[in-house]
Amino acid sequence: MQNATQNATTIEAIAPGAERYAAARSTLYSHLSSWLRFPWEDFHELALSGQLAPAAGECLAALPYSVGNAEELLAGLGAVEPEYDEFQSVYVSLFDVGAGGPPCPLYGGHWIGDRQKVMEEALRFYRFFGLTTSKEEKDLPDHLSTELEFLHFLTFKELEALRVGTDAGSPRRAARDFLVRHPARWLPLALKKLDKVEVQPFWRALVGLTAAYCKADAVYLIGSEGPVQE
Amino acid sequence: MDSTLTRRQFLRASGLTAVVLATSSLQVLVVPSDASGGQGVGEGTTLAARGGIYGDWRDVYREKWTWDSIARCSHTRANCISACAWKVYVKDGIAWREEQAQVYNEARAGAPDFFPRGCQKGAAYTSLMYAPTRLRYPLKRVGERGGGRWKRISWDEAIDTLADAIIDAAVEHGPETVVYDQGTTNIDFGPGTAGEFRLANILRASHIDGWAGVGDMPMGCVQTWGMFNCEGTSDDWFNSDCIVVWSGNPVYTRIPEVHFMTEARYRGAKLIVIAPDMNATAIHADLWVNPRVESDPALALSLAQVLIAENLIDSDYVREQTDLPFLVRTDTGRFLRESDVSSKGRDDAFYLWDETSGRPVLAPGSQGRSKPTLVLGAIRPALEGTFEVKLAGGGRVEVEPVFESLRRNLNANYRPEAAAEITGVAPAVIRKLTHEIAGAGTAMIFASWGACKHYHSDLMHRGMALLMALTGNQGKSGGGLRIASWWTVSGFERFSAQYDIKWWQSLLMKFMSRLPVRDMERLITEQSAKQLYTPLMPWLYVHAGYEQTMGNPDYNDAAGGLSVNDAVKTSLEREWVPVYPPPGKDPKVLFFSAPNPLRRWPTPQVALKNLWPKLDLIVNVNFRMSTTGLHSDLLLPAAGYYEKDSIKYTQSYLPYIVLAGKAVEPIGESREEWWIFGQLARRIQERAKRRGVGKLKDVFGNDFALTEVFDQWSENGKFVPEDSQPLLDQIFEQSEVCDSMTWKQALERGVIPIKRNGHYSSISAICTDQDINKPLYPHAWQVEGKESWPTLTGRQQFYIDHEWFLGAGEQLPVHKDPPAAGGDYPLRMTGGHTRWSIHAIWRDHDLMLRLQRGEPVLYMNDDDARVRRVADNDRVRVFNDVGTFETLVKTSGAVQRGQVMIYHAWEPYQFPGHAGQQEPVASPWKALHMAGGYGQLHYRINYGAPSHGPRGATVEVERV
Ligand code: SF4
Repeated sequence: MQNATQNATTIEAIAPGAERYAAARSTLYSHLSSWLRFPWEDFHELALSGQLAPAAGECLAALPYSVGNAEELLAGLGAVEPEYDEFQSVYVSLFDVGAGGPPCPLYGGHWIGDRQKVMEEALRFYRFFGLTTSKEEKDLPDHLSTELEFLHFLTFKELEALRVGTDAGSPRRAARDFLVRHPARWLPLALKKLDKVEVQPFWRALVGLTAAYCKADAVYLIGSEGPVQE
Repeated sequence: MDSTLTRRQFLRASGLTAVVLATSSLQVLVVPSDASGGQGVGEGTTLAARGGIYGDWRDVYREKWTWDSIARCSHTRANCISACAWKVYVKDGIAWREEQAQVYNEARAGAPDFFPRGCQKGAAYTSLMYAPTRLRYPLKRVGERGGGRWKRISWDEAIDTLADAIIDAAVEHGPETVVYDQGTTNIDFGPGTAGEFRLANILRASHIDGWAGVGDMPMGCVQTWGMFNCEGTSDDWFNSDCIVVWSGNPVYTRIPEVHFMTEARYRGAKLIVIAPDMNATAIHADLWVNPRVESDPALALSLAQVLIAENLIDSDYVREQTDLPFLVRTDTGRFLRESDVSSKGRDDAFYLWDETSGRPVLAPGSQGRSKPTLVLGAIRPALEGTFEVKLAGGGRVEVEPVFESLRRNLNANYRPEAAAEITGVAPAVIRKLTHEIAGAGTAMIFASWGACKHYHSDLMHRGMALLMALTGNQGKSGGGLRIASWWTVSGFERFSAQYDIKWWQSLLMKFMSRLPVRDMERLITEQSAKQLYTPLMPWLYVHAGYEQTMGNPDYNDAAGGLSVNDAVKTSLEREWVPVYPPPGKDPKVLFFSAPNPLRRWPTPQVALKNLWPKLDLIVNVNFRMSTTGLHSDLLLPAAGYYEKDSIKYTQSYLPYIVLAGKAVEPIGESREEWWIFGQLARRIQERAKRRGVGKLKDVFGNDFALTEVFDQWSENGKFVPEDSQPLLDQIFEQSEVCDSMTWKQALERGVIPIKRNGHYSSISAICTDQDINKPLYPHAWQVEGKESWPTLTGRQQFYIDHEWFLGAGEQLPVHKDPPAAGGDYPLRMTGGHTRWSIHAIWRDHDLMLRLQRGEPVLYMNDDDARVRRVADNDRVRVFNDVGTFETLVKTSGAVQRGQVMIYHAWEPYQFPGHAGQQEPVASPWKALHMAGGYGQLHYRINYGAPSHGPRGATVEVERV
């Protein structure tokens, strides 16, 4: 399989401007997608090592807009429960398992309603861009992690288009629509729920950062691409 | 999992600072195998290749939605008492929607057809299977039981934890301290259930028999017929001229079948509903009769009184098919036995008074007679009169037919005017109801499982059976008392190893068209006694502290003759009813697959307090999180209904076996039960070998070896957990109900017609030969074929002279008011199965909740509400001496004064404090239900265990 980009680079290595913005946005989506998946031990080690906040901070700093007070947004990412079992158990009991479902499922369709329709549309977006959900992961198209990975993909397509000089409008419009119709629509509801239950600061911060970022990115894209079609 | 970790490690660590995109860097999104368009990263899928640009969101809808596959599915372990074939539409590994499948043959002669079949729950399963309640990976409890904290673990760790706990318990305390609960028939007839039943049997674990425990044991039918799994196909309802729905609500509970009742009305049948509340079936009735809660026995007996008084009975039928002509001694109240008359006579042979010869003659076909036949020949049994008979000792005794004492009792206590006092039903209505039934060509009573759930349910059923016998309806097309039945799928049964049918028995069954029912019943009972089946209610009584509630004399029949405590003691001593592990030994490991005992068991708070602390490990295999899951130690995620190959359990309503193919892979890490229990068997064997565990003894003293568990389970490698197809093939090969075929051939068809009636079994007592071209009704072998019923007298037996019954005054069907189970409170809390869930499955599903009030609700009569200052939608506390819960109220004229009603199976976690509707339900059972050693009064798997009374608890309600 050919990679669209074979050689990895860093955000800092890209000259300030549109490419760098796209790179930062794409990298942040990639991080969040990965960090909001089930936390295996390697992720716990990473979180404990204190690298998450700097990594996210680097992206936030390179964005063409402000997501909010970065210090406040990132503060909780350092409050990592030292015991792995406890760390993952909080994730499980918050996002995956509970009486009548977990307190805060990370499935968009749960919050938006008409789940099948939400999943179908997400899948249609993925398929439009030649993707589908992985058989290995066996998760659903409206999981937050999947949605964020798709946004990572779209923003990277934007970066790729900017580099080769083709039209970046297509992935930007898609990202705008997908954000507005999916994660940016339901994350505030999920966040509201999180604020009602007892949550460790780390997970509150991670979802809070994601919600704030999705919202800001949607506003940014609407600003450049125009509003979402009714 | 290791390789996944490595990949994740790489991505998370190396990706922190790098801007990377490669298809290999995407974790949850990939290029689909059918990629030919779109704007992607895959080869040939660039923007240019597609030639289109994303404009706005409408563009994603321009591509025609196509399906990757359409699978044949059903809802295999939903326990819905139905079976419906569905097409399930799949795209990208997701099951998106279902559609009712027309795979049934055309209608049978003179009856409407079976299509369409389905219900709204089934039509929404694609939604439920992806709901947030779904379990997606194995979990281990963290912190206190019930604390709601979980840790994800690997399958290896989960299965090894369970395997070790089973080995520890078996070695240290005996294998019977490992307990398997099969629950409320949340089973299929496929590999999943077969694999787990088989493992429990091989492990010599105690196997909870939950049939009566769920309140589904029609003890009155057990007492009267010696069987209860009696139904035919639902299109036979169409042949009835008068359908009496008594204590049921099929519009809610038999959604795929109930149309036959409506269609029967089109051809002129009357639909009569007898229920205290105006339920969804009652609104379609020609006549709705609403007796007071639990006054049904009095109503039935009053109808019987009118039938006899007005000579509306079928006396030839009564003489041949019932024990009503059997002679009873007026001095002892016991049947006149051959042993009374002759010193060499038998205790299980009985007399009739032959009007032709004017002397007593031995009745053919009783258990003590060699031939199981009801043919009377020249005998003309008397129904009336008193006679004198010479005894073996030389004395003389007065005898009379049962009919005589029945009539006397009915006349004395149940004339319509007297019954009206008990039931609240006007005498004129009682007479009208009697005339409707007696005047119909054929009349049937649809009782199903509803009437089993009351304290005196046996008296209700005995009354109903009496009406059908007096009018000659039992055993006729469109007639008789109907409960329910399954088809026997022997291939499933054999693998499950429920019975060890010996070679000579198989030979007999092969060369005779079938064994007589009474012989089959004896065989099943013998086999059952060799297994560790342990009926739920006595088990809870012994192990879970339920003697405090069920044994409370205030909650039991004061005129019951003996106390429940004495009955349990005597019954265990005499080995009438078994309990494993036996009293004095605690259960140590409890595992179950699909059931939800803390939702279902009465007073679950008592079990949590007394049973839970005894258990070292509680393991729950389920596709969804349940209340019991919350209180378990390990949660093992099972594949959903569309995620495995299986066979829907086969109720006789439908003359087909319905198949369920695997439409999609199980979500997350969930696995098929077949794999889970096969893998467990494998790990038990491996670990027992490693630990050097030697031979153990089971509770009966037989040797068995944990080091051979997998060899036995797999038949030395013939079956493997990774592939269920060989078993599916074998099930179809070995099941005489259908033509021999492979699983693949069967699945292509979707449903397989039932060609033959499987043998009489623990779950099938249809007792009529199946003809695929005709609607089926039960009991033709007895009524047309004149074969004995499997009772002591060989008849539908209305007189029971067991000493306990005589002591309780219940030798004949009588009416008794139910005890105040819960204390002295003015309201009776009833219930019923709901339209919006199958037990707890779908109960918390948003699509179903949207169709109701969205949370638990108690129906209360407006007048009762008013005096308590309760308004519609108020929150109330429902309480008695045993427990309490809070719920919303729906004020309604549809329920009677003095009755409150809450529909079935809300999950306790849907109530404040997780205190559910079962908390005040003391649910005692009658001492008489522990009786044994008497013809049909015996226990065996799925038969004859005490039926408890979860409905009718006494409660009070107050606004909170
Ligand atoms: S849940 Fe049962 S009744 Fe409903 S459609 Fe499925 S098989 Fe039929």
